[in-house]
Amino acid sequence: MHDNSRNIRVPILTRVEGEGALNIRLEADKVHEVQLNIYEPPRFFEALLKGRPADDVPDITSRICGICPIAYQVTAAQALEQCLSLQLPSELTLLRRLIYCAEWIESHVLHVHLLHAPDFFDCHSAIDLAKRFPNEVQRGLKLKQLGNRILEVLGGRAIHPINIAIGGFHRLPKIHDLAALILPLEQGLSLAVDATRWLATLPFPNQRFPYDFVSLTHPELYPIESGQIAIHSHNQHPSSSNTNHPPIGVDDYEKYFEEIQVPHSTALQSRRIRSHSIPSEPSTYFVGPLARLFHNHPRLTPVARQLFDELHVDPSHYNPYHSILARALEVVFAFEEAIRILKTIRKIDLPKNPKSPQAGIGRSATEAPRGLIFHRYAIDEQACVTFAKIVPPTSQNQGQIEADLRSLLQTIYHQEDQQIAVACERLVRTYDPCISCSTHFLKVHIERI
Amino acid sequence: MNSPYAPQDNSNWIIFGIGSHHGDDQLGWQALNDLSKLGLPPLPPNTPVLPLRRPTDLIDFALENSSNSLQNHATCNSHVTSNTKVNWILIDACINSAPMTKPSPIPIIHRWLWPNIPSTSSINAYCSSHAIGIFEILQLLETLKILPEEVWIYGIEPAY
Repeated sequence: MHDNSRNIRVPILTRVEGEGALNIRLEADKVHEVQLNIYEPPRFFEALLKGRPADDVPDITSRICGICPIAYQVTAAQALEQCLSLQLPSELTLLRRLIYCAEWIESHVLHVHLLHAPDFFDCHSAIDLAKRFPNEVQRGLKLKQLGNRILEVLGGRAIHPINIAIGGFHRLPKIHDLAALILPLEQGLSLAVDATRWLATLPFPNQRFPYDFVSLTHPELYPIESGQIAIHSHNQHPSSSNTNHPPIGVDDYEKYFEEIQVPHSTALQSRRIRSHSIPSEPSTYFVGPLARLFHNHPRLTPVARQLFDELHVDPSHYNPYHSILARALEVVFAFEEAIRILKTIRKIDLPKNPKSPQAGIGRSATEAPRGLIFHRYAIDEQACVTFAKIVPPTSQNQGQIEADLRSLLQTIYHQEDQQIAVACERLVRTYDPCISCSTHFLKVHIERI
Repeated sequence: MNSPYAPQDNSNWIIFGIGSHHGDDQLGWQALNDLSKLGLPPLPPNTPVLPLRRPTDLIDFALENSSNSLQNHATCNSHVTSNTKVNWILIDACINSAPMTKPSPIPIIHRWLWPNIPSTSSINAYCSSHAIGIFEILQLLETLKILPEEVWIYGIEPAY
């Protein structure tokens, strides 16, 4: 082994959802290998669904993740509704968007305040952060509580809500229970604005990575549960301009993106299919709040848009550390959108549209808190599942995380192993990775050779 | 009130059971059911019991019921009248993580007064996310000064 070689390993990545590690091999000033090692056992959800009635799918897939179950439920329900040629009335679609707003609030606020913000102050945990910023942390907890409250009213409970069904909902919330949410959410909006202004003062590391941003886009709304897929290709050659491809339909997702198996991960990794991209481009891509903001910031709600301008948030800086600010802006958006929906809904006739079994194929893509999520199902004449494919956001970001780490290591390889490990872990956390989802991740191991 | 199984003062109390109504982590909720059936002789008959799904639910409760929580902000439904004198009793499954500890052939009930939890025992945070269990939640609430004066923890260690 060469004298200048090093192995650096973070055996357990902390403050992320699920279990993973990071292995790094350095040879003098060269980054030899970077592996995001996801070792949680594969969970075989797709196989588990085969033969099950379509009605079971939203509840089973929601168990993939305790943080973003609504993303799985809504995406599964929409794909199966396409299988069954079911259309939802507008008020049920609005209720789906409302419960999704609650999940964005709950998930983003948890990540921002308890998992990610400590990194910016060299704090080891949320408890350390709370010693320095008790009011800010308490404000974050209050915001999370409000997200939970919407989930309880619409989903029956805050943890693993159970109310979403194919065709709508199992049971409708009472109109007065919905109306009672408006005042606390208006107060929450004010707290969310304060939180965003605080987060805008964080000492952001100055990093710039070339990203291909992928997210849903919608002509009128900031996308959550519907839209087409927007692909932005960052051209690495300064003389060439970046490219925004025309949006593609959700049904064409698999023509542009594929899953591959890598030896060091129990989770499949998603890549752009090269025949559809410029050959010199990297095949990794970035999904999540920064990508959504890049493609959709003109359609933010008024207060969120005003903050976007006031705080000079610019996703085209390609700085992953700005993701925390993008999440905070999306929390403001989610409060505004939830209030708008609650003020719009006056009357709901039926909890769900009746359906007749039929064979079919259906696809759906929505925006989970961590980014684009895609489902495809096939069902038979008895409406039982014959095929299922689920592509969560973290599977799509894994390749990009490894690419980011390689770029970061080129600038910090000379540092002590411990410093490198900390810096790499912090970069991984900007993605808010959900390893449990991706195995449907973190430990760092650096090897110098 | 003069029982070895309950705190010895005249404060108001609420009992939390952490778990689920089905599956492998029913213990906290089952204990609440049994206490409700058997009565709570050491405590007043109207002592509230509250099932929780995970330790983080304690945060919402503390925010609603502590005079030290942020004032003049959004509020949600409160389960009990705000009362800073309400102390907590938590019931949850636990495991003994001490190295070389022999599995117990019979269930063991541990009782700890926060923050005096022996480091070799860990409250089993069964399905809690982000490795945030009871210990971490109580530490966070104590840091934020929204933890009651007295918190007793009953950890039930199953037989193996």
